[in-house]
Parts: sequence; structure tokens; C-alpha cells
Amino acid sequence: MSANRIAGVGLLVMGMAVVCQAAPVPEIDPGSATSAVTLLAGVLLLIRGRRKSR
Amino acid sequence: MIRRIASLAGLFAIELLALSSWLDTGSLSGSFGLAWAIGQAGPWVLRFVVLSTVLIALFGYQRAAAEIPSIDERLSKETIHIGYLAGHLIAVAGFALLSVRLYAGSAFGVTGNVLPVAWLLTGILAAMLAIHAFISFQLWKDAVRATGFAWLYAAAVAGAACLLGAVSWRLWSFSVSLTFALVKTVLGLFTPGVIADPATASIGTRTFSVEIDESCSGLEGIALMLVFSGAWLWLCRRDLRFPRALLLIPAGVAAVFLTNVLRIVALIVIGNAGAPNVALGGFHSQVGWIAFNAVAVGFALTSQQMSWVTVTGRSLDAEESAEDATTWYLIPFLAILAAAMIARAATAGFEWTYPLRLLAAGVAIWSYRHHYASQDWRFGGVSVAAGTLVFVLWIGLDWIMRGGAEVDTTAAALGQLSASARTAWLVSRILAAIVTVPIAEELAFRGFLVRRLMSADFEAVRPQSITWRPVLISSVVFGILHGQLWLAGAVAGIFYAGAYRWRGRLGDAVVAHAVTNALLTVWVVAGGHWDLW
Repeated sequence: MSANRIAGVGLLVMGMAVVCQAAPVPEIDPGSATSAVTLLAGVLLLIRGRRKSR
Repeated sequence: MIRRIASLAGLFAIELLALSSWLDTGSLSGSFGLAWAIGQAGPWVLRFVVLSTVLIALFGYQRAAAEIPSIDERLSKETIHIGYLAGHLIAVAGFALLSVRLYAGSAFGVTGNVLPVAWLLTGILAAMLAIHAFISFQLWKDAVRATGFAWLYAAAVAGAACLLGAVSWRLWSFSVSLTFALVKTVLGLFTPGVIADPATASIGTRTFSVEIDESCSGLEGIALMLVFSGAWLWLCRRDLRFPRALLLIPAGVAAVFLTNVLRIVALIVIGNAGAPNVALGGFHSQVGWIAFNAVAVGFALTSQQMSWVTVTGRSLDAEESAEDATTWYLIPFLAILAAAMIARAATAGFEWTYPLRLLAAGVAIWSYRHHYASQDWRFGGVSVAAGTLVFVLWIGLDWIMRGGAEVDTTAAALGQLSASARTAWLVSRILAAIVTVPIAEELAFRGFLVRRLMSADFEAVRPQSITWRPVLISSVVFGILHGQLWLAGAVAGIFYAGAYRWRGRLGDAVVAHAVTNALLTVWVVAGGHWDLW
């Protein structure tokens, strides 16, 4: 799976997180979305990288 | 063709905006028959149409890429049909008049279906006339045919999304009740004297309590998990056994729901222990993401390593998995991000736990130091000049974007620390800014991302061959991660990429970055501009 696709998953999650912005005290804080989704996308890249290089 | 479709979409958007700001479907709630159905389903039908149209364009564009030039050529011989456009405007006027009757009439209890049917038919006629005015039906037919079954996939996805959205509204109260009951049970294990009021869904102790409202009832996490797990299974579909892999979805949803219960319990325990500011501050804003990321990573790892769901039928042993180069380019940066989330979660405002970031990055860099030895760490005067220039631009852009407004809480918070704690914090903050952050971010953004955007085999890409497009994309991402200072961050990214490209040495990018941060440190500490940290 390419990095582009993982970036796509990240954007999808980010989009959903932004939708959550309507809530005043959200479970998922949109203000922290950028770094959280970047972290998730990076870890997913590592997981896929290890799998691919098997 | 794209220009025509965009013009048509623009026309519809303006008309829709005008009508929706003028008419309220809520006023149809008191009516009967078809008028009532329009009031109930109207907004969802509209969402479905908009979403499925966007998805058809997304799914269909690639599929029809080969045939688009010929359709474009045929379209260039067609002009926008003024007659149909005029017909559309007349139909829209009629639609507006009927809308007034329909929406106002409902207040008096319209029971007949004649008016709603006329309203619907006029609306459909108006839409068809506009569609045909911009692009003839024959061309539409050929274009849709070229996209294959994109319309079917798009309709299915849009339908599922709308259905899920509609159902989720009804789940709020159930979700609040279930979360409330579970929090009450689990909290009782940790804290005696739990006070719970089901009527207001407030729960806690005598000293600290919270109200579980709809937004923290677990549904947001579930929605994110559904999106994530669906996308992940789709992307990994070749490696997975179906339908059994689908069982991971409810498992992930259950896990994310339960972690939300634990999050609320932990929040109450922290607040009750005498740190309500931490509970409602950093902890509340960070731990939702920490929990979601933990469950999402667990989901991904399970889907990769659990032999029951993988196609290969055997799990991935640690010994078998040769470490991918991606790992050591990204690990220090990811360690900083993870440590930052944890550090923020433990604080109420001022991040006194900042040294955790330095520690995490230091450990990551030290662990992979043998890999970094292969990089070219030499640097030249140009990198020092680039770093200085970025510093000047950073200060200037910060001033322009924030108008010189400084919101400084760091100096006051530092003043409340003991002298040794203040020194330790400052030393770790400075070391991070000048040493670990430049290394971690340059490895991730210039060493990895810029080259990865050019080729999957990114290590084979010569730094001197990197082009503008990946530099711009990576710099924008780099900028976005700098929050309010996104523009300064993006500009800095371009300069650091330039330093990297200049002689193909990562050392130049790292030194340029370190020089900027060192000058900023002097500016912050000596000049008292603490808001920049």
C-alpha cells in the first residue's frame, strides 16, 4: 500500500474529526487533530513498511 | 468539461443557498402526507445528492480519464444553451413561488398532495433544464457510461453515509445512558462514594463531577473508528481473509467505546485527586485522540499479524520483519509527536512536562544512531545563511499574521517554578529546539517525505533531483503542523528543502533548521517573546 493511500486514510479521519467540531466539549478534540492524525498516519506507514519488507 | 460542471455546480449552489436560507424544512413538521415527507427526508435527500455527485466525480474521473479528451472535444463544439438556461430560471421562479405556498401553507395544515407534487416536479424540471443547458443529455450519457459503475458505488457509499448519519442521531440518548451506566460501574471500583444522577447524566464525587453529554458519549470515537476500519480493511483487502476480517470492525468499535468509558473514569479520578484543571484541560483535550490512536494502531497490527485473518495464514514474527528504512527516518519525529500528546495530557496549560519530548526524541535517535551514520552530516555556510533568513522571515510573518498580539502565559508559569525546575525546563526546551527537533523533523520531512513524494523507493532519489511539487507539498504539511504559524512553517520548509537540495546533504537542512531555532531561542529568552514557544 502506498504512502498516498495512508495519507488518504489520514485525511478521511481528519475530515471526520473536523465534523466533530460542532460539539462544544468533544470526545475528539479537533484542535489536536493535526498532530494526532499525523502520528497515526506515520505509525501506519511503519506497520505497512515492516509487513511489506517481510 | 470540468469548467462546465463547475459552473453548473456553482449555479446550483447559489440557488440552493438562497432557498435554504429563506425556507425552513422544520416548518413542514406540522403538515401531512407528501409535504410531511418532504420536511422529514428533504435535507437527507439533498445531502445524498450532493455527496453522491462528489463521489461520482471522484470515483469516475480516473475510470473515464482515457475518454475525457474526446468528450471535451465534442463539448467544445457545444455552447451553453441560452434557451434552456432561460427555461431553468423561469422554472426556478415557479419553484420559489410554490415553495412559499408549500412552506407557508403547512402552518395552516396542508393535507393535499397536489402542491407538493407540483413543487417536486417543478424542482426536477428546473434542475434538468440547467443540466441540459450546460451539457447536452447525449454527452452526459456518454460521460456517465465512461465512468462504468462509479455511479453505483457512489450511490451506495452516499446512501450508507446518510443512513448512518440519520440513525446516529437516534443513538445519542442510548449511547449517553450506556456510557453513564458503565462509567458508574467502573468508577465504583476506584472511588468510594460515587454520586450519580441519571436525570442529568452527571457523575462524580462530592468534590468533582462531570456531565456526560452527547458529544462525549462515545459516538464520535465510534464514527471515527468506522471510517478508519472500513478504509483500512479496504486498503489491505489483498492481505486479509474475508468475511472473517470484517469481525475486526465490531471489535474495534467496542474497544473504542470502552476506552471512552475509561477516559471519563480517569478524568473523574484525576479531578477528584485534586487536579481538576489537568482533568478538564490537557487530559480532556488529548486523551480522546490518544485512546483512538491506540485502538486504531491495535486494529492495524491485529489485521497484519493475526494469522486467523491474514491471507498468508501465519503471523509476522519480529525476527522475520526486516526493518524498513521508513522506520528510522520517521521514528524520532513520531516519538516527539507521541510524547507531546502525553506531555500535554498531563498538564493544565503550561507544559512543564516538555522534557518528555526531549527524552523521547533522544532515545529514538540514540536507538537508531547506526542508521544515521550513513547520512551526510556535513554542512556549509549557505545553510547558516538560510537558517538566519528563515528566522527573519519567521519573526516578520508572525508579526503580520498575529498583528503583534502576544498572549504570554509561559513567563508567568516559569516564574512559579523553583529555580532548579526552571533551569531544567529551559535547558531541555533549548536542547530540544536546537538539537533533537531539527534532526527529527529534517529526517521526516526532507529526508523522507520530500523524496517519498517522488518515488516509493525514496532512498534511491538523489536530493539534488527533487522538484518543486514535492517540496511545496511537504512544506505545506510541515507548515500545517505549526498551527497558527502555518505560513512561516511552510516558508521555512521550502528553505530547508533548498538547503538539502543544494548539495544533497541532510546536514545542511538540519543546520539551517538548528540555526533558525537557536536564533528564535535567543529572541524568546532574551527578548521575552515567550508566546513563540
